[in-house]
Amino acid sequence: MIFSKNNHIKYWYNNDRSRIFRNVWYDILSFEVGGITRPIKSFREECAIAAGELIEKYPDLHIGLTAGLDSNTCLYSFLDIGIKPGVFIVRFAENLNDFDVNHAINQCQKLNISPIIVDIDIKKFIKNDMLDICKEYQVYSMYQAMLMYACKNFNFSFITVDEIELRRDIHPNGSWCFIKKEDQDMSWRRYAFKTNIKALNNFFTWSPELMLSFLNLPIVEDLCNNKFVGKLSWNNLKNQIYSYGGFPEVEKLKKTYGIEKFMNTFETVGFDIEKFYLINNNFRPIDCYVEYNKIKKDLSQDGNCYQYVI
Amino acid sequence: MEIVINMSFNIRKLGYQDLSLVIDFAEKKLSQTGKDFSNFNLFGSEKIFQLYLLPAEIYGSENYEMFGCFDGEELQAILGLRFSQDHCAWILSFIFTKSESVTGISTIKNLVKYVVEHQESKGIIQWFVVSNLEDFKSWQRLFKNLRSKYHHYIYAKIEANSVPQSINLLKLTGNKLFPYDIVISMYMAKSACTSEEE
Repeated sequence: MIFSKNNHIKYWYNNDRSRIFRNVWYDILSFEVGGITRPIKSFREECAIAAGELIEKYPDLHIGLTAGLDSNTCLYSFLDIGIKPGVFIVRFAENLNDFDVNHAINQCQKLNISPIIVDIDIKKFIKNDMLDICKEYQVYSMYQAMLMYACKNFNFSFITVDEIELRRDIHPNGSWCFIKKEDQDMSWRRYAFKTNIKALNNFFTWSPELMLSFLNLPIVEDLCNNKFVGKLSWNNLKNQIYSYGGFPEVEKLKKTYGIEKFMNTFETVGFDIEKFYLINNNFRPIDCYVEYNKIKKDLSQDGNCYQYVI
Repeated sequence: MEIVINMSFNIRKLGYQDLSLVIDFAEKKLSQTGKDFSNFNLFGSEKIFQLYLLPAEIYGSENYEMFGCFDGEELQAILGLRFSQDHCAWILSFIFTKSESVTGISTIKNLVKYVVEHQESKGIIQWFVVSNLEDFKSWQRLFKNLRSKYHHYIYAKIEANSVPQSINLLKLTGNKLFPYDIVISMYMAKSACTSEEE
């Protein structure tokens, strides 16, 4: 299955490139990115190119849409090439994510898209199914497990939109780094492998060209050169970054996480999952971090492979 | 950085190039005794030693270190430790010696002293030891010569096969539930502590 352009992003454990499940806590995780194969265009143009390449590979692709910046920017990228992709929306019972749902439904109405709405009783899910999903696919967070549960009956390809996450609280010396997560990013490979569902999550990391076009944005360079005082991550600059990158439509979107109405539950459940893994396997998911200047250099050349241990 | 104990003993930090030496040493030790002599973790696989001797290019490798005590070219003892970023402290993972004699005890004491001073030179002045409750007093005697510079606290006592109330303790030990009662000792440099006079 193709998860990214030419499958340039790969993950595996120890020396076995086919191994995508962790066996022991001290397994070494490898994360590989490819290098660009052509001159890069602007960020918005690269997003459109990625959308075109994705829809060519997966004509029935559905985007998981929320009110969030990432999924909406992804949607606009498809619209840029004249494609109205399929959309699915996860709706929690008791209106627990009505902000996301209402925005996504409004977007679809404006665009004349008929979304697939998946209704989830999040409390029942947490009680009855969450830990089984975590165990089955080595997922470490409630939200990812919930999405996997929501998508389990899909018979079409779909993408849960990722991000090019930038943070400086992971590297031991506080350097700005590009982050890819053993949980949020890699668990979808495990899910796709076990279910044979065409589950993707690499949009903004679809190609080395798209990644580099983002990392080269002057506002991103300023962030990673500490021109913005007091920032630990790119999160509350996301609106500006996407806007600067050519998507002014998303600048006014409210930054949300989708769990605002049950944050306490989310944190408690996160603790339960963490405890489950520590008791049973002693696993903790790794945040794979690569220094900003290093990932830019590697993407500009032949890519690279990075290895991590807990 | 090396320290000379006598004419032939020396201690140094081990690296990836020492992996086969360490595995040979551990295999001989494991074959000599059937008991779980680690006191901390069940290190039955050579991979766990690789963890402490990873190449520097691997992100996270800086959190694991191993030191060896040599008599000439012959490895006499190894000590492994890992860092807890959460606690800004190191945790003693394992000590293996070639022999369980007076010489062995002396070797361990010198190895621990070296490692403690090595960590001090990096500004890390707090460390933890996880021990079987039955062997707790033996371990205390082993670190007695450090008590002049370090306060010793009982950080936690955990019953066999039980889950500590605080998840941080599990993170601290980093391991599966112990089949015996354990004690987590904490050592903190006296120089870092305030006194009643201050």
